[in-house]
Amino acid sequence: MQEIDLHFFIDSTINYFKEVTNESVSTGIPYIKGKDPVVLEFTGIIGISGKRKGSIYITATADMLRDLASTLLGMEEVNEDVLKDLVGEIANTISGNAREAYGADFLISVPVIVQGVAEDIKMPDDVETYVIPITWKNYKNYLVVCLED
Amino acid sequence: MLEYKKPPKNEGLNLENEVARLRAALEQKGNENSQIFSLLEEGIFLLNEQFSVHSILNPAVKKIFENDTLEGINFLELLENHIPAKLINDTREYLNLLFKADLDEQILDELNRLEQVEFYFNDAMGVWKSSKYLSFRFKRLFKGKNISYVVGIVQDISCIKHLEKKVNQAEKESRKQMEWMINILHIKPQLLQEFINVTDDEIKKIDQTLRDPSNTEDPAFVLTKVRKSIKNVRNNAAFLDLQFFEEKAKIFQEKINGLNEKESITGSDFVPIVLQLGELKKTLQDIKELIKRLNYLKSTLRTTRRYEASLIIRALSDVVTNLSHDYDKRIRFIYKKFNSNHIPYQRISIIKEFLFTLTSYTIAHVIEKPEERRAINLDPVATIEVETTPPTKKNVFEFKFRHDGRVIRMERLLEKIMDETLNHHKMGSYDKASRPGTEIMRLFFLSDSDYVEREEQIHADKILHDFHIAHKKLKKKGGRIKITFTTERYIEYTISIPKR
Repeated sequence: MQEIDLHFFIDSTINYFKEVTNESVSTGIPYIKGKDPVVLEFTGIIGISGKRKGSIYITATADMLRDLASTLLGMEEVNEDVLKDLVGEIANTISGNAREAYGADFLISVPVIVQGVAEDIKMPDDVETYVIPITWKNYKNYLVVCLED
Repeated sequence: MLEYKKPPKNEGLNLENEVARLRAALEQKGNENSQIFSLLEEGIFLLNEQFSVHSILNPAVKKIFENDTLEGINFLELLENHIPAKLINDTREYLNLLFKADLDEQILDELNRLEQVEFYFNDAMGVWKSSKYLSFRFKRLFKGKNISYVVGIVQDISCIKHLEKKVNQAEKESRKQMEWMINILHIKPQLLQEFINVTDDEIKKIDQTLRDPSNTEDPAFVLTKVRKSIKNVRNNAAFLDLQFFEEKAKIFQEKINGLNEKESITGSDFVPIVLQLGELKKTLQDIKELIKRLNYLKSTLRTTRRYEASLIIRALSDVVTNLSHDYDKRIRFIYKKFNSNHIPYQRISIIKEFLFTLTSYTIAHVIEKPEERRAINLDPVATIEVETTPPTKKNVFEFKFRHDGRVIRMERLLEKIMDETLNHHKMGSYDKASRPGTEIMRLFFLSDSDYVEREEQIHADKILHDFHIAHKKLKKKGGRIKITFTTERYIEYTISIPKR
């Protein structure tokens, strides 16, 4: 994976939060994912196929998503479906940007939403996976990126 | 070919029988065709003008697409999520043109973007799982002047493509590995293993530093720690002349230095650093795998221990021959009583080093030239002899090294020097004027002149330094040297070393 790839996905995510919430968002120091799962309560997964294969997912806590719902939708009480939709929307934004950036030679999947912290998301074994902590309003989320060179 | 026979006289009943017979024949033909159809490895299917898959298709199609319910499905929808959108759009255009009878089919073939295509299969999470490489051809099926169907023929060419990919990959890898191997082969295995262990540790340290959430507040601190670790890695690589690794560490350092110039550092500024860390990890992993393969080769091709031991005498013999020639000396090398089989395998390396150093020193600086020996009524041909003593002591290996070179006081001096040099180095002082080479050279040339060739002096220093190292190693293993001065003008070294 090149720097430009990782920056692209980070910027896509940060820009989403900035644009929809008008609030600041910061990235923590990225690191290489080890064997420990990096999965919070709601996860939106995007698969990438084509000349380069990989996967990206954004994972967030229910609390963060509730606060986001409150900011975006003005809703205080939200059910799990709304939270799934919200994480799906973040993932969709990243996915859409990726389709535009990487072009028609790539197959960018429609995001799959997963609920629950039970298991790790399986990423390709032979490619390094990078974790970028993203903090919005003191809530920590993770953007996890794995893409072949 | 079906045969029509004229029906006999009882027409009603005969007609029924005839129809039944014909039906049976048709059914049998149909079964035969189905059988042939099902045996084909290529998938064959029909598409109508709306691109729907007809029910007539052979089992191979279902197997290739990994889908049992293809009948009635839109072909382009079948391709969705398996190939990029652009290819699907191009295929739509191509198929549309294919249904236009007035257009030449062969010319249209060039618009077939599915001639060789990678077909992706994803898992339940939408993440890529596997690929097949497929080749599609499309042919028109006419009914009169109109095209009733387009016949699709699909072949799974994954084996060929995967093999091609593997071969290309292997070619690329082998070039890289060959370069690395040339770099690695000159390094002693223990040093290489140490390098790997140290680098592994430093990479782990960098990794831990980056992932520690408490460090996010202080990026400068993170940079300092990472810089220290990568400096160690680079220095270690440089020490072993592992150029390819040193280069990667250098790039890493440059990325860090790039950040130093920034006024304020954020998390995403570490992107180049974490990517370079990934690169370093991969390189280290590749080195480990290369070493594993080299070890396998070594153990498969290794010589027997007995053979390795016997190589010492052969090599020593060569050293004597070559150095004799270089120093214009004549030397008889006797090794009849040296039994290589007695050398403990674990001690081959140290014994070899010691013998070679001692032999070099003896030939270069102790044994006289033939004319010098004649002048003192000695056989112009000097003797060097090595002998293993029978293994009387259970846990000790012992051998002797003898020669009839120079005057006896040379060896007394050597004995003295072995102890004194060790002490000098221990105390950290080393008086140039009393360094061993100078002493030896002074003794060599006392009878003739006081002039000493600088190169000889340096050479003597070097050999004695090597001797000192070899002696130190021997002592470290619990070995001992005893020098015996005999009246027959043989100086004998007895070297003993524990077998384990």
